[in-house]
Amino acid sequence: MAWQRKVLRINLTRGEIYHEPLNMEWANAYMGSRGLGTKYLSEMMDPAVDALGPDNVLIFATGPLTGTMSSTSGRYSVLCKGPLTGAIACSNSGGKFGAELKNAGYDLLILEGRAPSPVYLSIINDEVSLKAADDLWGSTVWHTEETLKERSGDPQTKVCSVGVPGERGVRYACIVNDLHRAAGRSGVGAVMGSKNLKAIAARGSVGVTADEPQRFMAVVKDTMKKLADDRGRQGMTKYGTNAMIDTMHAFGGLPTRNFQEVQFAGSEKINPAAMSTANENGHTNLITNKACFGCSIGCGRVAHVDPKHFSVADKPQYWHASGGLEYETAYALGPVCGVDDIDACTYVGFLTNEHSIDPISFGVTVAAAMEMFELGAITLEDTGGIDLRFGNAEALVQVAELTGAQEGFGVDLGLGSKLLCEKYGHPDLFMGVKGQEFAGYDSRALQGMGLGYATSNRGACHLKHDVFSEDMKEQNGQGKARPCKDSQDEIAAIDSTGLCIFTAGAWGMEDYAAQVDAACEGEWPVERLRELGERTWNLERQFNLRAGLTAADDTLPKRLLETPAPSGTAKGKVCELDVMLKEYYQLRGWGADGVPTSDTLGRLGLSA
Amino acid sequence: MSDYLPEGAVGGRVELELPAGATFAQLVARLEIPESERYIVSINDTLLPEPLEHLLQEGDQVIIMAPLTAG
Amino acid sequence: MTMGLQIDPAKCTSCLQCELACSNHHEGVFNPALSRIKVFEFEHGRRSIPYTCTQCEEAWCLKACPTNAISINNETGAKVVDDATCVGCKVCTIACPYGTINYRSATGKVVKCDLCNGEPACASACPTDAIVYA
Repeated sequence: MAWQRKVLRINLTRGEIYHEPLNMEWANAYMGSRGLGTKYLSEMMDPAVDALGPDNVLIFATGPLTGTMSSTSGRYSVLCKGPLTGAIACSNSGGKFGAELKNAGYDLLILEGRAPSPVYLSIINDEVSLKAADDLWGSTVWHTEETLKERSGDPQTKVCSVGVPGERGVRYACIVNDLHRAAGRSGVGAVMGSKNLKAIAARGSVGVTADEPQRFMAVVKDTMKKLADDRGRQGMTKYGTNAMIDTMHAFGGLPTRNFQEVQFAGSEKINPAAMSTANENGHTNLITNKACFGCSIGCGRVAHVDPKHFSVADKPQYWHASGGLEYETAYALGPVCGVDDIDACTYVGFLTNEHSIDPISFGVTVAAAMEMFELGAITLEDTGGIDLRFGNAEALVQVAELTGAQEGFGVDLGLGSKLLCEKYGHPDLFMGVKGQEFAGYDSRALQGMGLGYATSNRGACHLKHDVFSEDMKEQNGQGKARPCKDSQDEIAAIDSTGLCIFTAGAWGMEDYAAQVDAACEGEWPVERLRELGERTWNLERQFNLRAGLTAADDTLPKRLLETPAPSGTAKGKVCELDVMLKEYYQLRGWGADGVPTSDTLGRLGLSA
Repeated sequence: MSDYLPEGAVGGRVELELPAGATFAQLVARLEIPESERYIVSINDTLLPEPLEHLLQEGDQVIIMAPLTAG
Repeated sequence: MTMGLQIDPAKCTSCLQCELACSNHHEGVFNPALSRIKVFEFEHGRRSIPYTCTQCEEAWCLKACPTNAISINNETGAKVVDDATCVGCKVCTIACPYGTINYRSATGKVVKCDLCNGEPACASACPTDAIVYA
């Protein structure tokens, strides 16, 4: 009934496979995906352990609605302690892999320990086995996926895997599934690689059901229509998320040249209009759009690089189509590096999927490297002769290839921006929070976003809160704490359903609750979802406190707190984090030290 | 929002002439932006959460943006 | 003039709502593995093409069946398998050149698209009109 009520737990050290019943008490308190995964993670590991050591636990968690006919039902979460942040990592992905895992009969897949030599996991319903992956170790995500599909003899096999960066512990290595979707942030791919787990190949035919099938389908039909009619959704289908680059530039919140500026004239060359216009060679970047499992939005882009472009002119193996520019990829490979070359950005975007690295963290790390290069702190000798200045598309391409292969300066870049800046003597140039690099929003322009970045439990993240409407009305710290806290709780609940956050423009909490209520046993009113979200948020916070993080980590770089935005609507402004943070802790029911009070924990059913 | 750009617009920009005393509401009417459409307005780089009654001046730079959603 | 499933692959986004709808309609469960319509991807995911029985004129499956378990629905023109008569010999699966009639070991019968008696679930579910019943 929505849940499969089964957990697959693998001890990689001993090569043992356990089929266990889902803890229904936890499922009722945390629902699934993010919430339920956090509960399992908190119970199963000590948050203080080394993130790249065998005692880190890696969890793939689907939601009760994953694999059903709800729109956007393809989502799942990947949880562990993040090597990039030392905090909880909870990375969300789409594509088809998660739905396949659910259809194989599992709510959660839990991986403990470390395999003695490279392996991949094969799941075909209840036939689960670990197989040798020595011949795949060192190969790319794309090669691994194609090989495992052929090897299984079933082209419908779904695969998630890591490339060399994951194998070698690149701090922001991700787990790529279905060729161009990813559990992107916080280095979950490095954790998978640290366990000698190269890939997971899943095939399922068990089926997923709803508790009240007729009522469920009625709610699904209703919510599908709401989604179809929503203007914001229509924009996402037509332009993908990259539509935001034009607004962010006009608004003056588009992080440019490592957050030195907030507008980028070159954004015209990589925006959706540029993606859909033929260039001087008659080549048009964008081909069509693509959806994840069960999704009627289809925000994914399918694009190809101009075969005459310097990046691929001698590499016909990259002339095929693949995942095109989404907003975050465009921002991180474009404006923040000062690059306006659509083909370079698209090609590097391909590489980040092929080599399993997070484009956001990679791009912002390159941006920091570029700033340090221009300051003379990083030299041509360090870069191996690469002229790593802002705007140099050739340099971007070269360092992307090196990072994917973990060669030359790519090894330094694989440290992530925080460690790289520390290494070369400019720690203030790290643009992120808790070790994780910012997404494409400058918090001098979007102040509430600054609070969200500072307090997100997984480090700087734009997806865990939504104060856009408030931020686009007033650019100060007033009145931001409440909507930030409330949206954080709501999004934690949405993330726990197995549905995609991109429905949140069209749907209200009552729409999510109605779907969960019809699919799962028991009553699931909106209040239950909000409470579950708040409980999850606090449990994540507790994990981080146990891992050694403190309120001091809820902060932003000096640049955003002290250097005013140079242009745009926020010209002259800095981020008023101070104002927001105090109020935020109070609203959360935390002490001034950022620790949940016993009253708050008691109310949420959490232990101290 | 580029759907509402009048003819002659280049790179999302266009110069318009409006009668003296025109408000932003009159600009919206001129561009035929329906009431149901949501957008964000900045005039001379100042955000205007309630732009309709705002009196436009000569040389004003008006930016009309689609709202942001997470991505 | 009978209607059929008009499939426009250029509009397919590979969302698999058609597969979910098909399995839900026929089997009462969300299970793409039991769908009678399948989306195939080519060229590194660049092209997605939903494919199922075209209810072809030749009706090789019908002609090959030794027990006359397959007949034509007069209203829809669909070639429909009668479960009670089907003995699971699989000759139809060999006769069909398109691979769109398949054996299910769980039931011992073959399944194929039957146009859902005139209201194909896949067409209703498709969010992009890649599948239209016309």
